Amino acid sequence: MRRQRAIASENVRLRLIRKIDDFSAKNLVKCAVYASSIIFFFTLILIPPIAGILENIGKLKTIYYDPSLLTSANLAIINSFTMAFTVATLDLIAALPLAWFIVRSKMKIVNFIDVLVDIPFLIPTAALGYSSLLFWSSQDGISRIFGMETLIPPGFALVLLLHFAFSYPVIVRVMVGELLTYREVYEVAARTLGAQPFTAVRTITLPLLKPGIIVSFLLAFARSLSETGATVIAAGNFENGPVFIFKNIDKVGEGALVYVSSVLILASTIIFFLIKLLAPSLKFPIKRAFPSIERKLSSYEVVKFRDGATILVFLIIVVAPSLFIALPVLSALLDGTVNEMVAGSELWNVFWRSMLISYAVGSISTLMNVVFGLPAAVLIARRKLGRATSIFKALVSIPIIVPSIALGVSLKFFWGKYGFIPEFWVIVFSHTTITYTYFVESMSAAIEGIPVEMEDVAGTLGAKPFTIFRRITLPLTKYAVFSGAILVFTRALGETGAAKAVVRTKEFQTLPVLLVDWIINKRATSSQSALGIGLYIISAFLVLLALRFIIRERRR
Amino acid sequence: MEDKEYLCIIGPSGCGKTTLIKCIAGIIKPDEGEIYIDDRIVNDTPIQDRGIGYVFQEIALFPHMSVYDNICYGPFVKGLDISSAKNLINEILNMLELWDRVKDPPSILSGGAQQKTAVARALTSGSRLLILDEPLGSLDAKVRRVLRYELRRLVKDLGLTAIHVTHDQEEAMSIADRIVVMRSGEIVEIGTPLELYLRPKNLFTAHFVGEANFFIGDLLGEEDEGVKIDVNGNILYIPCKPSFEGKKVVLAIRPEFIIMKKTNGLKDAWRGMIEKITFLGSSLRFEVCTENDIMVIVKNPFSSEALGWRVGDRVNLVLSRDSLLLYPYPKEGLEKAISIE
Amino acid sequence: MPSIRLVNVTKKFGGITAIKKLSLTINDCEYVCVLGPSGSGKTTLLRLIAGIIKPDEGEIYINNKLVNDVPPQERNVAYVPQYYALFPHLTVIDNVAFGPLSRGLRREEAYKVGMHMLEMTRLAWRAESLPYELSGGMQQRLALARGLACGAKILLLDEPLGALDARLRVELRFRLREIAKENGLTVIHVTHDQEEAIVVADRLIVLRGGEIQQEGPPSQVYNEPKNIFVAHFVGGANFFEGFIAETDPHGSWVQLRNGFILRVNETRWKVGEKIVIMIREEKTEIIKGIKRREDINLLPGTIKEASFLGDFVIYGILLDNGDNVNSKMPTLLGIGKFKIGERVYVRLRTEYLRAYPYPPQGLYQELKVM
Repeated sequence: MRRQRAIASENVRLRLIRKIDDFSAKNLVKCAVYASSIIFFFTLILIPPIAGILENIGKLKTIYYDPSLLTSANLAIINSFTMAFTVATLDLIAALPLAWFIVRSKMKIVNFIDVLVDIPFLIPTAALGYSSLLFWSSQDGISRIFGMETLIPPGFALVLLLHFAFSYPVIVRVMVGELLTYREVYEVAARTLGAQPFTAVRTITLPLLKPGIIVSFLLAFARSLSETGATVIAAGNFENGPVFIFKNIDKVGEGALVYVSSVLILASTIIFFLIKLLAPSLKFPIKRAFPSIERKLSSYEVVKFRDGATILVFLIIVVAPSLFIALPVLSALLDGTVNEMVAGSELWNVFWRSMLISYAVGSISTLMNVVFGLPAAVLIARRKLGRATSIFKALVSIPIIVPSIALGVSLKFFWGKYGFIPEFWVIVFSHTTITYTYFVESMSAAIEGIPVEMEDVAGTLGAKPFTIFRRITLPLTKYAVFSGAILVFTRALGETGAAKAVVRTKEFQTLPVLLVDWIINKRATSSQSALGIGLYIISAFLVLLALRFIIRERRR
Repeated sequence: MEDKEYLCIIGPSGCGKTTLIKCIAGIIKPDEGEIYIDDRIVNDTPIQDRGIGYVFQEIALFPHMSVYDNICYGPFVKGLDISSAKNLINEILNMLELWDRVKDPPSILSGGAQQKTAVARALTSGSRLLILDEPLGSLDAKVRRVLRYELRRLVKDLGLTAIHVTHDQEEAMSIADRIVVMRSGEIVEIGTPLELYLRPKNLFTAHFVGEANFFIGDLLGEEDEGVKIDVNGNILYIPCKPSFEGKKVVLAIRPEFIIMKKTNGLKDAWRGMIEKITFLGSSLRFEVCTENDIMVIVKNPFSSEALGWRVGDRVNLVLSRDSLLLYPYPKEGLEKAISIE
Repeated sequence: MPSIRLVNVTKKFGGITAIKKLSLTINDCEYVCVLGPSGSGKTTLLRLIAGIIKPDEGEIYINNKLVNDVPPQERNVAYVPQYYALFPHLTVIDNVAFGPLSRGLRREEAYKVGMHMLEMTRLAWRAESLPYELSGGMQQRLALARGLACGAKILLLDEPLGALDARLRVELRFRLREIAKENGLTVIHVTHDQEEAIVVADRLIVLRGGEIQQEGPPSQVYNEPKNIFVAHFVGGANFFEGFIAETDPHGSWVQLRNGFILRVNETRWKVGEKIVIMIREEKTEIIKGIKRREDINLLPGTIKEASFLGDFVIYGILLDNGDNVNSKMPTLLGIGKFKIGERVYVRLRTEYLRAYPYPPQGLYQELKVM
């Protein structure tokens, strides 16, 4: 009986797979899948922000009637780019040696540091901002050691430290990946030719790693440019583009918003592609060699000193401010705030509702991006669009470049026209837009990593497109799909800027928007804020842990 | 190793030959033991101070530099004035006929030209010891055959010492002064190509350095100056005394040393029938099954007689006494003892 | 019956023509070797037949059916790419069962077929391993088993032995041919190694720049090469430049560099024509002693180098007119027979000499295989 049933169920399965297989082999179907993903990209990702701004471009002139507003808007925009450039440069200098240390050192401590690097990634930036604020500026933080009220008051310096901390892991992660795939034989070859280790790195390894260095620089740049929630918390009187929009979104006319958003979008896109085009022609200084100096620079003591300094900077400026939040959270757990939360109050009801909204928004936009992003990733990785592939790829990268709050403003205008779309969905669409790039780019890189031959061979063995995808492409990129999805999810969960811009009614505030509001407008006590942030971090952490656990299981 | 010697290290993949030369070059540190270069212990000398020219299997030309800059890299990183190294650079470029490629980026060169550039790069730093790790492995068979002679000529003309690692025994034999045969991390045998080919001291060498027939036999007893051996009923006489105990033995003979004749009644001949003939280009390969069911491979160069053989022909095989090799039967079994994988 | 026919097939990549108007017929149960230097279009040819790429022009027939528009999964051709492309996440048995499963076979049956294939290739004991745990030779066998598990009777092999050690390569090529013949397969085997090609093939196809230079049984291609390139690429050869000095009804007299004279049996040449003469390395003879008046094709020279290859020895001789000759002889006959610097004569028998028109772009360029 059981055997028969098993055979019957296998028959059903086989028939189903064969149906899908035959279906997938049809050219029409293939085209339809790819076309739908392209349509999705244009209608939901690319066109809304552009259209939103363009339709309201006429409102620009209103800002000219308010010269003082124009001045502060311009200053904010310039501040944004100065900050992003400074942060990315400093991060590159400080993070590259750490990536080096992680890949090349044989010490046991490496594993521990490797885990620590991800911490600023795992903590939503709004929480990170609060943590930094407490660490550097409050009297409970590091200021106490120096016997000062506040060591670094909110303002430019604090924002710099904050941005340095959350952009740092981006560079480490990218460069660790680059260094792992770098063929060390070039460096060894240089050394067999008599080059000191330092010389070999300067003249061979770094020039060869240039593409990776540029990519990591740009990512750090974009991250600093885009971040809103934490910056608002740490800004004080300092104003950059996102802070300007955040503070003024409900106060000033739409003219100023359109102005700042459009300039931010345009300028960031232009600068991004300029760097991308021009940076490869930057030359490393490889025309001369200084054997005796470089021999000293390669010596054991100098290398030890460099590693030590790198780790110290990493621990003090990146790890400590990120983890500091644990202390206030602990004290909030002990001082009775928990009881108040459990008892329930208006404040906490709003909190739980926001959390629910955040998770719903995160999951739905992740799902949408996975479904429609996968075919787009295949299109890019396998260059199915021919010469247009590079253009498509460039377009796909735009949402990551542009400050998310500026995107949010234009999306707010765009979706605002369609009053019949529920606010919840507008929020979902906006989060989908700003996270799209993360999934498609990581996925297409993973698919590129599979030799095309593998799929070709599967084809000659009789596998139809669907079976090839199901049994070869997907299993080999499964890990990338999950980690791409996690990236999208955490990014959506942590987004403050875009959410702030599109949320119209208080009922639909996402968690980061609510928490930032609590902190900067002092709507909650510091204890309540700390507890809220603690719950936010812990819940995000648990979800991540659960997802990772699932992946681990699946990978077996 | 001696000065100005061309030494080849051969062995199947995974036998440790690359690890060995990496230890010599300082890329890997040995766990135990000492390495001496010019009678100086170098265990703690870093790579860049050992003065060894190294040619990598992956070729590893610096992709962001022109061929010329690649070749000048050695003098450059030592802070030398390029003009002082000019003579050596020019001489090497002349010898390798690379002049018309010096401005090109390495990626557009053919495999052969890339490999020549890599050799040139290793030599301009003034090393007297050259290590070559499978230098021809990534090239087409035909190019490989041409370049190996060029390599040897270069090393000899410049009076260098070379260690050349390869898995291709023909390559090793054609260019080496001495060959080291390695297997699972140990040296099996060292000798000149001719010694290894004609009188291999080890079963594995006999198999790895050129094809060989192996027969398992029993020692029957001594006679005159040699011994008699029973191979499946065929009695063979070998004019030397075994240097080992035990009755079970392995006999080996190279296919090209077996003489195949039509005439019957030859002394010590094995009778058999040709089962298969394969054309090898410059020779023919026969598989002959003897009357007592032993498969023998015979390689004969073209001669009018060899061209006339057909499958099914009855022939007599003469296994000449001088070319038979005698080994004790290995404890792990014959197949294991000669297995390459 | 499995047969393959290509008619005027052309394939371009960008501005480069990989295959130029190529026509070819491969019969049932034939073992064909396609031999050529890198970039000669060998792999492209295989990929065209497998259906992974489509020809720009011309037709491809498999079993007399036009397959230009048939996708690879319906051609039933087993393709084994150069580095095998084994599926790294599947076990050995899963790799082999992939084909049958994809063709809609039940799990049970598919694994039965797979197991059978593994037994044939002596891999059954490693069925549960992952591909990277296997040695090079085993991976090669697994790729073969996977390709054949679908029941394909046409096997396309791209450098199947290229990733293996030289010594192993020699052993496995015989085995490859045995498997093909035992299973009645039609095989196209692509390689750049002429020794390998000669040993395994029923028919040899020499490819260069996307065009067939010559095809035929190995012995024919080896002994009667149609042009200089084939002569050079398929086996070791000596070349001499010269021009026809005199002709008569039975042959021609050729003047080499610095006044050396050779006799060839060919009569198709005109006086004054520039030609290249070829002789295989093993067809030359080295002779000690004195030349008699009636001896022809006996050229004086000096032994320059001796190279030992194992079963053969090659002597390099510098002729007195400046030409070089390589002479290959069996080790037993040749080892230690001549000393470097010794004065000798080289005999080039007329029956082994072949003449070709002098190539327009020069001999050196024509012989270039890099």
